[in-house]
Amino acid sequence: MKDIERLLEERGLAPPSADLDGRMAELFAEAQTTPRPRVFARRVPLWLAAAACMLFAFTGYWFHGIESEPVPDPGTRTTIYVVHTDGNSPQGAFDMTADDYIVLGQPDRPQVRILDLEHGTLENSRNRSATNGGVS
Amino acid sequence: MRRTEFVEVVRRYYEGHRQELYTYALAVTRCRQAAEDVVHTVFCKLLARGRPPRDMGPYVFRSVRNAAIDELARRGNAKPAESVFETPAPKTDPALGLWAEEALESLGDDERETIVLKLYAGMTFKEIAAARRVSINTAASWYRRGLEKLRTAFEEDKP
Repeated sequence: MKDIERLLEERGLAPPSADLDGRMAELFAEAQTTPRPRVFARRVPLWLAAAACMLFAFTGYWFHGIESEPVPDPGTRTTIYVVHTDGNSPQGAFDMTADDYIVLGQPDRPQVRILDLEHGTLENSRNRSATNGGVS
Repeated sequence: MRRTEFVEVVRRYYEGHRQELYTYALAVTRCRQAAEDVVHTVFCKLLARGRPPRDMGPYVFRSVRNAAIDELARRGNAKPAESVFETPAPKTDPALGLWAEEALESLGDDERETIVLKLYAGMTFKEIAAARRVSINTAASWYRRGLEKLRTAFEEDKP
């Protein structure tokens, strides 16, 4: 490899023209007198910057305020009836099959669940007859 | 660093590497006028930065390459392609000199540029890798592959 490298190194290189040297000399001379370039090309007045900040802050607050209004959940409502029993209530006394009742005139058909505090169960009213728990 | 000091640093760098930068630009553009324009453009932009880059050598050579590729895209390939070597060859055997010219032109762009940077710009593989943004192994393998092709061509077409 060394012979090839030597062969190439011995080959003279084409020099740049005197025109390039002249252009570069002018470039450096001009650069000496040119001031350091600023980070921002234009000067922005302080009052304009402050006004822009306030405008963005106000716009952001306005949009954020609209989005933070609570949106009601249109999903299924669950009504929980807390039933305190002494164990003597007859079975079926509190039949709250949700499909047959429209509670409080609401157009939605709420799902009714029964919480039995004594037995610690929470059942759907539809399943009440299938299980042995629930209101007793 | 003050403006005058920065300009002086850049000017000294140009004067110390003027031939290598021009040769590298010529290796990419294959046109002497384009190579001169590239070198001028690169130093215009460097001075406009206002502060020296962290690593001047790889940065400048990388800038030369990028500017040369842009210039090549703008002008199209020069016809005929101009060699990096001076013509005619004053010191070596003219036939060998001509062979060297043609052989270098026959290499791929990466191989040719790496050989130019290594042999004529005197850069190390680490500096070449930094300038080309590749690994040191990649730069070394470009160089080695280029020389192997030249050697094979030299053995086959020994003038």
